[in-house]
Amino acid sequence: MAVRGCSLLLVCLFACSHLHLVAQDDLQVRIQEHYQRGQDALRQNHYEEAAKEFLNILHLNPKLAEAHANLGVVYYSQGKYSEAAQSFREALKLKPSLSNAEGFLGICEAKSGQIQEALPRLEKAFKNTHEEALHQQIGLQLIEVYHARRDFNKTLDVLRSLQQAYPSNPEILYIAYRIHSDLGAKALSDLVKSAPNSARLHQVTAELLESEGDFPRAIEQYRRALEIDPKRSGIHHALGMAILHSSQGEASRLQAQKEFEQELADNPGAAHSEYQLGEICWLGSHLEEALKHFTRALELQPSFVDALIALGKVWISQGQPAKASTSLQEAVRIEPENEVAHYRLAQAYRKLGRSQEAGEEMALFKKLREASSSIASIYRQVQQIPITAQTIEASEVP
Amino acid sequence: MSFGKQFAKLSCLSLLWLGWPTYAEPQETALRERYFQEGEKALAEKRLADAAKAYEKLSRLDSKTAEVQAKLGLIYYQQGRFAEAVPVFRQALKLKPGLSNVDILLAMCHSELGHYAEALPGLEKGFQRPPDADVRRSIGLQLQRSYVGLQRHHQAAEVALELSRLYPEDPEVLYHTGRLYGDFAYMSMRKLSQVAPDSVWMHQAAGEAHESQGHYDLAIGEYRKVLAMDPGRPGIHFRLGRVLLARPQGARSQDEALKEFAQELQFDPTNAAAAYEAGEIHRKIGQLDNAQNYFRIAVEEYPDFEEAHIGLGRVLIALKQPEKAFPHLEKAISLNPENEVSHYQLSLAYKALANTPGQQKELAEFQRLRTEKSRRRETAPFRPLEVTKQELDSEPTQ
Repeated sequence: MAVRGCSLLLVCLFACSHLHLVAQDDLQVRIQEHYQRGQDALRQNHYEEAAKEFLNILHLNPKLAEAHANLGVVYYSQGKYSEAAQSFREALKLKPSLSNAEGFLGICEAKSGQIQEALPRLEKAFKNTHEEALHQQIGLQLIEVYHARRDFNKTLDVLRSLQQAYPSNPEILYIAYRIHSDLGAKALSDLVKSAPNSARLHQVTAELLESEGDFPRAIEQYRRALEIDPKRSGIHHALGMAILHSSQGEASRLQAQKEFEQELADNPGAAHSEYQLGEICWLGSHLEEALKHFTRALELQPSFVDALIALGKVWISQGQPAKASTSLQEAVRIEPENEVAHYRLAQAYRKLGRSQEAGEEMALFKKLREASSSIASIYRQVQQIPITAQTIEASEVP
Repeated sequence: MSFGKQFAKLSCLSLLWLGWPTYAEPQETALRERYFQEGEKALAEKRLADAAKAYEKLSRLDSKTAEVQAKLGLIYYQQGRFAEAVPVFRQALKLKPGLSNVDILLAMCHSELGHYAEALPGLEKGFQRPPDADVRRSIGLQLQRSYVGLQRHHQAAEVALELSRLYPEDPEVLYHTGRLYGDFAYMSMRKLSQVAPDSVWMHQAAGEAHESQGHYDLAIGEYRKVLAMDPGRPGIHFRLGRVLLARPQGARSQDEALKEFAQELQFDPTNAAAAYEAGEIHRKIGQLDNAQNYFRIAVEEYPDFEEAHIGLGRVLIALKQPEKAFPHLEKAISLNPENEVSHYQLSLAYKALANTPGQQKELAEFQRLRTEKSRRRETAPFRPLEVTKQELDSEPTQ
């Protein structure tokens, strides 16, 4: 999480602007020259040279707060956090109102392990800093400190502020990914320690095995979970899914079907199991039965996006694109980033002769598919998919 | 996934009932009494289907008694028949708006059905002022789910944290917390892939995801892409070194890893973890002076680095300077008294100084911790280790 981008430094460089106004005598002119050279050196990442220029200014006028602050920025960019902190402290002593120096000082103190001093400073600076790049870095540093202190509430508070202020900032998205991954890993690690023989732990183990493609062992783990807690909601369903993933043969489908039916017997509100039964009927070309299951799944959970898409798929195959488009529009409304919903909606529009809308939906589909394919291969273990997600057959891809 | 079956204790929610209306015909009263008795008996014997039938008959006879409706709703709830429970609970509240806990049950049914907006007010109120701790846990899990359903992720995360605080060893809470954060991590990664698909952040995140799944070659590829884009990026050489060490390729990997740690230190001399890893490699190949130097850097940069203190302590013992090892091993123990390795090393330091009582005390502690550890079956497969843990190189001799 280190912060050493040149762009940040240039933005945050402390301007000795008053020098322009008062540069009448030789001393001021020399200071201005050093300042200019220091700035240029920083722009070219010549940190040693930049530091020398700002030190020269301080030889000429040790009371110039901005020069101390700029020297601090140079040290900071070199990763010399203790020296940087000292320079920022000096600058603030001379000019307590020096904008941004407080934030830099907090970051440097945190990075050199002076957490007690850094924390109040960072909290204050996070509220008061308006310079975007610095504000982000102060927030990220605060997250690091809170996270290390296991103050997860505050970690998430700062993360939320940053995400609201900079929703598309890649660094903040990356940190959000890291923080959530860590918190998820911590919860599962606590589960291992506190309930090593629980049904839920066998379920988690099964999910991990499933994500690695080891379906036989995943099935075994789900069965162990059911031995411990036969009525635990969701496990028959998950077992059915693992069986389906292990093989799409008729025998597997029948076995999986039994598990989904058992889930529904134990838990009649299990919309996902109802949906899976629909999928099995669809695969067996029992379209009327599939429609009943998908419709029932939607009665149980009206905002069930994959069930809406599945219903659309069946209506299209039955030559009823108008009905299909209604379901699919609802799916797109609920989940605008679902590529399959856009693809199926494009199909429905095409069959209705609405070619312009079909084209728009297809363009959206292509854009979303491109983004999702880049992460699908690298990120399987965290996102467990509890149902057979609606997909597009290879033969359908345009 | 339904939570309905987990909440058997909800049946203890008090639904006060003061008896039949006095204006009823005696024959009708007898019939009501009969259905009531049948229903209660079935409930006591956990025959929910029979209980539901008896209460359905009772509610047809007596549609004006709120408690009858509420009890029928509760039975439906326990059966997972949430869609049927909703109108019955609504009717109960219409007849007696203040009927205790029915609003919470209605909210939980809404949540099960995916009607999250309707569920929220009742769940929020119930979570703040729960009837009891068990029910609070159930309400909290539903509240978490409803916030997720409404895309109010930060509030969902807050509820998850609160649940983890209230029920730190509850497998159900830990399981759902783990899943929730896992899903959030996935969402962040997905958005990152959309807004900055070829950024250093995306490649770094991808590298970490591959690393956590044990796909080391893929992880190396991603980290190398990061370095191609930003050669001086802090932390990446360190990660590369860690992945190279994790690969089962023996001495060659160790040499390559050592190079990466050295490079990391070149860019960021404050990286204590890189210094520690370099020290650990040198210690393992018997280059004790080099190991000592690196471990010293690590503890200077990060004075609370437990593993580095242990590493330095054991190197000093090997260098026949056991008296110098003491402060480091004692510091390690003060940081984590539960680590068997530091106690064992301290026993060796005592032994080298012929201090038999000290040696025996530390050996006894080591044995106790080791036995406890094997009993606890300490497996934490979900948390990637940030540095190589100090282990006992071979079975200790006493």
